[in-house]
Amino acid sequence: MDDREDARTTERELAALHPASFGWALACCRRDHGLAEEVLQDAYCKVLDGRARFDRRSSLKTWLFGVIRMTAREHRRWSVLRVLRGARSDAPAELPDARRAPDSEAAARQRAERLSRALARLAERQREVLHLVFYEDLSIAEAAEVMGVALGTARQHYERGKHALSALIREEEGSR
Amino acid sequence: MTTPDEDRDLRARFAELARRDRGRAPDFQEMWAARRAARSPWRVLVPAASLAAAALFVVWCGPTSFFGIVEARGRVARRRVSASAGDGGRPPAAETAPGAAPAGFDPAPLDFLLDVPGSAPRALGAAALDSNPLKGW
Repeated sequence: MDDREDARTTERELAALHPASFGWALACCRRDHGLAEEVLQDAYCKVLDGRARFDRRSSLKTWLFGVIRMTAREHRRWSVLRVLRGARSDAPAELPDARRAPDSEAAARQRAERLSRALARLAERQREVLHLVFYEDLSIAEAAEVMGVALGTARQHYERGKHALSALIREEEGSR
Repeated sequence: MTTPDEDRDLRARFAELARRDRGRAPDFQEMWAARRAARSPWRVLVPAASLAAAALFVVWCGPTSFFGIVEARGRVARRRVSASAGDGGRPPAAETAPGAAPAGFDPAPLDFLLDVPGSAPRALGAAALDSNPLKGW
């Protein structure tokens, strides 16, 4: 009975974190929508099967993000097979936000696209730490925990990454 | 170092990206319900490949020799059991009967190596190492 209640609690917590988890999975999969879905699903399977156990040493969010990051790495190791199988990148069409004016919606979309392109050109660790801090609203210490690196290392990646990303965005805006 | 304006700009851009991603996120309940089907194919492939390898091993060894090994192991195990039971480790009578070699039987005689054709007369005429013709013995 307790196990069933635990499973339900876990399900509720994972459901609450789902949008953030998907965003993180996207970041770990270089914004490949299909791969991000696979990775997230695999991470959920690990949680359910007990292959990944939450020992409450950190918050559920940082722990789950760590699991997603490791799962994405495992998937990347099998990327050769994936290429042979035919990569699936079936991102659903984005729905425009009805609350916004069409021109501001288009401008916002362009800004986000430029950011995506600039992020793709950034070093992996820098991309990860910036995503965790700016996108997921984690502290640098929590980001370090997710990434499995020391706080000082994460801080260094954060500062360098911010500088590099700003330069890349300026470059993207200049080349448009 | 980046300026606070740049930081604000980055935050705004990331927030925009997050808003877009939330709109494209798959349904949680759908993923949760389909989690069993999404398991890796290796979960099936690895045990199947192990089974196939074991079957190949049996075929390659030959079923008779393979099961012969199993039978021999069974005999050794029986012998150990009987030794621990206190009969001195002697094999049971039924065990020595089928296919057991009689005492003194050489299954692979090597005498044929000494049979060199045409060398027999020379061998008979040769001086033995324990004789010396010069000294007369």
